[in-house]
Amino acid sequence: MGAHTSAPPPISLRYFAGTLEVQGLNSDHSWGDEFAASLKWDARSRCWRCPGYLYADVVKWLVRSGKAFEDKACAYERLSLVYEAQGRIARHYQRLALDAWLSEGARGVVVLPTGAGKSLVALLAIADKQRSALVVAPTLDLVRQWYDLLKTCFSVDVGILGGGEFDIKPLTVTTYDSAHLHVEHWGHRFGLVIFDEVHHLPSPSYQLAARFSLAPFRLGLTATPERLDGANAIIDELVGPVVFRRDIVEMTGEFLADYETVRLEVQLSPEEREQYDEARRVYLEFTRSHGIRFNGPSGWAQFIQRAAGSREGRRALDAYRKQKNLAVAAAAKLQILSELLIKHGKDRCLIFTLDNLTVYGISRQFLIPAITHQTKVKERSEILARFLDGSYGAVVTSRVLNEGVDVPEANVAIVMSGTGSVREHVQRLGRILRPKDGKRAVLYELVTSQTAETKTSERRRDHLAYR
Amino acid sequence: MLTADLVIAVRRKEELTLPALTGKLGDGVRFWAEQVLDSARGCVGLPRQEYTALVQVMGETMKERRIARGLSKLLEDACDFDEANPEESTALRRELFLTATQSRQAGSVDSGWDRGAVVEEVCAKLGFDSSRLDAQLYADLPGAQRLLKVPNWTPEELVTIYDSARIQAVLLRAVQVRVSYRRTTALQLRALFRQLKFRRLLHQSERVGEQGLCLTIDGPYSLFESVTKYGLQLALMMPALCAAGPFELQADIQWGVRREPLRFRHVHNLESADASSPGRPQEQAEYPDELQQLLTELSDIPSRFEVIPATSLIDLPGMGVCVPDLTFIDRSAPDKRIHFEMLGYWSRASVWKRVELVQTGLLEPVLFGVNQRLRVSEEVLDRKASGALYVFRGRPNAKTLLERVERLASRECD
Repeated sequence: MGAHTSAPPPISLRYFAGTLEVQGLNSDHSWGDEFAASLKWDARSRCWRCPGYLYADVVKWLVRSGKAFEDKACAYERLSLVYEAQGRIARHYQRLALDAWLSEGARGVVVLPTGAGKSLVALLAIADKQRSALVVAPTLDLVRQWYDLLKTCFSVDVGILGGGEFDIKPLTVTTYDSAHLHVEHWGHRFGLVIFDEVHHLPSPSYQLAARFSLAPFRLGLTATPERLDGANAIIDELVGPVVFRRDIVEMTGEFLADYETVRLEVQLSPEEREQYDEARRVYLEFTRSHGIRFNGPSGWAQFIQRAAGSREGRRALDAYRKQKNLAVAAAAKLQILSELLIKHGKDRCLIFTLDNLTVYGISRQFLIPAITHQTKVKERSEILARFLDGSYGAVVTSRVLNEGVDVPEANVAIVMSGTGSVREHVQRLGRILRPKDGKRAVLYELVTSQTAETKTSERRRDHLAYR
Repeated sequence: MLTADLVIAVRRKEELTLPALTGKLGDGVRFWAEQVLDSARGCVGLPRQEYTALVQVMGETMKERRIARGLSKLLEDACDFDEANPEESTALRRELFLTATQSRQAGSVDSGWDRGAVVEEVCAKLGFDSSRLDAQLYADLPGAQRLLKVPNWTPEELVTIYDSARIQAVLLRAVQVRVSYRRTTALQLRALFRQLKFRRLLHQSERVGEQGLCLTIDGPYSLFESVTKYGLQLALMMPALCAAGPFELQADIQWGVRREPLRFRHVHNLESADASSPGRPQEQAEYPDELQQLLTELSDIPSRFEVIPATSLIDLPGMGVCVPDLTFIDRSAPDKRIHFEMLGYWSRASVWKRVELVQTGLLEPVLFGVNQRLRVSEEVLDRKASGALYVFRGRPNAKTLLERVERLASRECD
């Protein structure tokens, strides 16, 4: 126990619930206004406060201005990790990506196509910085994959936050959901944060995971950085700028598998067509009579709002859903799927749908394992392991396997239905592009002709990967 | 808990209100409560999806559907469900999918693929009744869980639960909450502050009248941006807010898909507060054992002071209020009072905050009890200050405490 003191404490930094508290600075701003915009006086706790992510800036400022301070905020460790490549030899472009990131102060985003080895850049970053590191990934499947990768390459215990686990270790993996829910409890325990599929970060809730973290070193990974909402500035602010970029066409053949994309149009049956036309008439009549235009930004919200108000509106909403379901789940698509599954009986097929109902329908009809958000982690792992070793030839899923899951053996993707998102479609293609000797991948896209789905398909194919 | 999207609320200019569950709306909610309860009771023994399918088609308008789904969510949360043995379904799936893959790999485009043959082969191998296959294949999904028990609520009880749940659902979207108590006690406030600390929320307080208080509650990051991050914690504060007495609440919320900034007001039991006696709410708060023991020991020592649990708050102009634990009343001059606040032993910073407050000048004298483990000296405050520190080892000694109170009181007389 130390001696009793009569002197007020010196400047001290403390992490509190995602923010940095600075005690011991005069409350009158007499210490200068360099941080006036970031540090704010908090009368609730009688201290200065800033968001956690400004920790490195505050420390640099204190050091620069020669102020003595006690750092009770930082709780991350310096590590002595030994990186074991395990056959993963860094390629030239991966080394360049690391150098570019380091030259930006170990902050920034690396853009590489799916299958080009973004995760290896992250492993090199962890080995270089030697600080407690957190990997944030969008899905539990990716968490599981990162967990295996970190454990294998650094031979240490790896922590998991999320999916019912709360185990923090110097190397830890979590989901964006868990990160934003709990970051205030452990945002000071990691010096390096890796945001896998960083394009998820700008959502209002997820970005708090980055704002509440002290980590001075930040790495973002993505194949598809552009966001339609223009929120890339948030990634710049919280992670850093794009420091390295290679596009899919630059790498196909040498670093990614060769591929082709095949668009197969199917027809509605006469009964389906009749039902489709009738449902479409009902909902279009409603929208026209209420002046609702779907090409505006608030068209859909306006439709929902108007539909809520009356029986006629509810009928229009039901009709909208019915015509959409008929288009995305036309019986002819299932017939084509049946043929493709036989044709590719000896390949590894990933089947993608828009919704879980269709996933379970296909699983039951074709006796194919399904992975949805409801599939327990243990069973997911088993399904993917069997898919990898070839005892399962196909897996059907909705969106949970869109991103990042590493199955190099997968060489056929069958898109039964999807959204109009270019990113989603590119990511689905990416699932079959992991290079392997002699591999040629094929992506089939099934589209019901003369329905609204044809426009959806055109929108999502608006990427050079499909030209 | 009810989610915000299931709440029927009315937006008037910049205000969001919850319509009273009376008249036509009250009748409607009661009707749907009855329907939901009847449906659930009729589904006992059936899969969850049978019940949810019934609720999904309830209601003609969006408003009715939302009411039915809200009531159903609250009821479903309180129901007991039986989880099917997941192992059985997993094993069945594994066998079926493996066999199906093998049969596909062995087949050709010409010969096709025979689902029936695969099912027959697997069922024979596992000794499984093929007519049960469809039901059993995904029997471990939540929708397939059997409903075992429905709470024994009347429709009126479900409506009452729904009514309270609506307020919490709105607070899920809150960025800041202001709560005004006309009458509360130090003990109740201490319990409330403990909850705020537990939920990592921050507050600013302002005294209103003799026993009233206005609290502004949000989170640390709210200083920089209005976020609904603290909405869940603010919603979970409701029971603690209610336990501290009748209040009026105003919340800044971000409502709807577009997160429109609106204001929400709620009044809790103010009518009963006007009629109740001042001491009534105090019974609900617990007095910590440590202080109870100290109080007993102090009462046993002859002294010129009468010691009582503190009932009033001390104004800290421009900074809020201080909530003392005990008040020492001079028997010969009852207007002369010394307050005592015992500080926790975990935060040295909180001691320095009190020191700062004393240095700026307190309107009433306060003695702060500080554990020696916090390594703060009593001399940090000068002898003419309006407050003092009493540093103790282990736990406060009643006799020494009285001496320090005497010392502070005599300082006041100088």
